[in-house]
Amino acid sequence: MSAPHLRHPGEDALRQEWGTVGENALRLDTATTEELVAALNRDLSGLYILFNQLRKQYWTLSGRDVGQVVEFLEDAADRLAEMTDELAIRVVALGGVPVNGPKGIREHAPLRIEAGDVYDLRSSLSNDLDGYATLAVQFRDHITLADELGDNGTSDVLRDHIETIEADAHDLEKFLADDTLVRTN
Amino acid sequence: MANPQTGRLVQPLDGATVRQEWGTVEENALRLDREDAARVVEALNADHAGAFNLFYLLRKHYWTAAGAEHEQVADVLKDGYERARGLNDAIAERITELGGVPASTPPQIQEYSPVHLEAEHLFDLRASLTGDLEAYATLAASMRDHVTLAKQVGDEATVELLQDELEDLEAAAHDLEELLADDTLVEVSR
Repeated sequence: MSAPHLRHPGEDALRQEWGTVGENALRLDTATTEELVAALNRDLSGLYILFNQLRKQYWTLSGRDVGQVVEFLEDAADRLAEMTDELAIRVVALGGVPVNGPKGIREHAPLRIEAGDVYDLRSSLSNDLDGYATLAVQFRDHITLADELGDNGTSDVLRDHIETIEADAHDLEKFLADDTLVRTN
Repeated sequence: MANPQTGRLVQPLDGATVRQEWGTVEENALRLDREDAARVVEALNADHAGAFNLFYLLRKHYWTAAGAEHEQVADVLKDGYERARGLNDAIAERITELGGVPASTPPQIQEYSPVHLEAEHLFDLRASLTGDLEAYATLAASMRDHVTLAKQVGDEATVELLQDELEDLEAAAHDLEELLADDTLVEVSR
């Protein structure tokens, strides 16, 4: 990945360094929050990659006759954005720094990023389905982890969203099972 | 598959057919000369990438403000990032109408964007928002230049899109400016 020019407002304005976990108001010890922040950052990196993958697809599909697919991708991207916000805000509450740029995305990436070319619809949607499946497994693992560590707040946030991930994965499966998708390729 | 955290993060999609390569401009249905369309696509990709980075900057600061329970600041930033995302989508769709491909990978976005991301640490809110205001100004200047370009090649729909979006962008920047003028931000900055 290229090294972008990054804005740095200066040391005086620095409140917390990337990769560190500070105090929290939730009475969780730092060893616990460090583990939870790393887990949530892995989810956030995956959500970032999948969100932009869906957006790339609906941008480039617009105007083509692909039925309900564009609408689904736009709505599914909105749902990913909503859960991204909630997970990131939870990371801040735990005293961590949420993944917020190319370095963090790479460091925690559970998925690869599609190259910049426009691909056929069926392959694109299959790749989305893989992304959802990876996230679903991670979310489940992280619910177990948060439960074990006694952080109900985090497991509640993840539990709220795993159903959405599974439902959207199921809709993608239905699109892929539909023969018309073959003809539109 | 190898671990995504090592090796190249951006990869061609295995087994897929490429329908259009990044960087190419196909015939469009708008009766615009292909070379003119290619110039507008190149220009719009900068605005598109700039809006993409603005969206991520504002959202990062929204998370920080919301996580620290600065509700008033958080509301303005959430509204701002949603509008930046809408702008990003609108420009991307215009690029495809013109027969082009919107930038989508992190290296492409960072190459095209006139708006720079922030280092990945958390900064003082006032310093963060001051930077966001500069990002708005940088993006607006880029879009204004491209209104001129689109007028030169007679692409009226792009002219209208950019002008409408500029008005909205300026209004959003103004909301942020008012927040910075407000004393409450001094208190939440520490």
